[in-house]
Amino acid sequence: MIMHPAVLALLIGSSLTSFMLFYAVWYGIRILAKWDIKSGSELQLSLERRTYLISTILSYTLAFQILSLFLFIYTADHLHTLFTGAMCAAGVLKVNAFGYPLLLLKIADFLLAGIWLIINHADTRGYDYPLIRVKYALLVAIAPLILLETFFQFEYFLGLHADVITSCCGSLFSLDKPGIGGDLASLPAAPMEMAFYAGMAATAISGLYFYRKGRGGYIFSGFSFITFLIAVASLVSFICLYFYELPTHHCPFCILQREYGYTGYLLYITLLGGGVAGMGTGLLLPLADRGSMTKVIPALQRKLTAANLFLYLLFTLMVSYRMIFSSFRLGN
Amino acid sequence: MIELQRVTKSFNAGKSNQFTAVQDVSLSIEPGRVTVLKGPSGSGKTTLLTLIGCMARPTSGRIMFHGLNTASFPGAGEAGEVEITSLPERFLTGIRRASFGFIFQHFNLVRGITVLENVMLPAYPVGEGHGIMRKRALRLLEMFDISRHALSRVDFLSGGESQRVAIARALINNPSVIIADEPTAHLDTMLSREFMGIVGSFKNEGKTILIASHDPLVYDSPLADKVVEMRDGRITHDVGPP
Repeated sequence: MIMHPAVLALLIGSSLTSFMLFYAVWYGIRILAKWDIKSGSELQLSLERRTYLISTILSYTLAFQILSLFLFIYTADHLHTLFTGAMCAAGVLKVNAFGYPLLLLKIADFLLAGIWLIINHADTRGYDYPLIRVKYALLVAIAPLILLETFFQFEYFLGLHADVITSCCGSLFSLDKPGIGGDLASLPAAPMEMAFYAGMAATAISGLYFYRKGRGGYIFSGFSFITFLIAVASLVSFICLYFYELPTHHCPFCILQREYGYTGYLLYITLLGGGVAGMGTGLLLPLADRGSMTKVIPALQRKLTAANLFLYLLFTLMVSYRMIFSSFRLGN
Repeated sequence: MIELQRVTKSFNAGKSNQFTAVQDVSLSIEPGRVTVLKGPSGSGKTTLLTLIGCMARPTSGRIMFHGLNTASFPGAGEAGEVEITSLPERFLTGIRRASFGFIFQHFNLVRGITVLENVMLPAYPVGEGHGIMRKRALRLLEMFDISRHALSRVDFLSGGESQRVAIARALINNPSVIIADEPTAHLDTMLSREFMGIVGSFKNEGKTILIASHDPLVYDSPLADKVVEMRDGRITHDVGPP
């Protein structure tokens, strides 16, 4: 294991997160089993009081969970000087078998934690606990993934040995490399550009329509999710090329480095944040007819839609600016 | 109407020093009437007032508030019927602010600031303009014949004056329910009678008044529509209209 402050912070942070989750899930299961708002029993009233505590604990815990994705990527990138062959986070994640699965888990947990926080926020605006069962059921479903992430994180960092020779990003994200990296890199640029802009336009139009009319929420949310996936693929397929001004360098991690002004962080924050806001809008729709949520959810959805539109627009502007003003041009 | 359904309040629940201050109390408090909780010290009157006034939560049981202003409750029915013991804190704060006026045994005025500022304090979170609040506070001070002390610090007031300031403060947000905890405990007979006169004017305005007291001047007053006798946290006697 490499004793780096960020590694220790991640391990301690994920341990605390897991501990808090154990506590929250224990009460979450009790709430799922015993909750009865009509009852004035001692158990019911104690669960009502307990849910404030759990909600507060989880708000901070899952906020850390969200931030930890960026700390993890930063750490992986920062450690690349220690491994022969690594040029950025891509190589460091390849040092052992847990790196990439851990990254994927962290991204999945980021999205799920964001969605849980949105549902929790809606629930705490209501006076009648309208989403209490939904949010604890979701928590019970998310918790194993976060616990698995903690396990993978320990396995990954404990298995980091500086004498390992790893691969560089140039080889991991090369066109002829089998696997997800190679597949994404080999996606044709021109159709991907069209798909990217078409996805962003569809999300923007459906989002504006939903914002103004309050209809078409599922379509907007669906477009938002599909566009998220297209944008992730586009990052590897063609967006990175414009940042590196190299026709063969598809690495999605090098843009996180100082040479590129840490632009990658802004790209990932806008994309992930917009994705969570868009998906959250759709997931709230079937819950909007529950008690006090009839007023709360539409207002929250408007805010989420505005956030999605703003973040996706920012992402598109950053990408477009680079495509227009970079001296690099992709040929046919 | 405020309706208590089998309300119990225990402190240090589950520990060796558990103490049950209110036990299995069911009670209806009629709107526009004066209800007096009567009983010796330690009978649970104050605890019951804090539960009704949303300052504490019961250990078990429910409290229904009929006729509540539910403007700040998204999606609530127009009936204005809300079960208050399960409400999240943010809503309880709103109810305390808008629906209840509290008069405490020791007045609980904030020393070091003026009478006028004390009266205006509960109105600040409502977000009204300062001029409007000030005007209303001065009108209340005038009503209780204490406007001459408006700019004096509360530290220099007599007991009777302090209480009138406390009453004015309880009324600043125009609550529908006035809760008074042993309001005459520190007053002489003349001031106690004066206080009951003020209670009569509240009643005429249609406010619901709930008083905890072991002063005969209060519970024997003809103003009291209902007298609820308590001992050891339980209701032992309940006299009043059905």
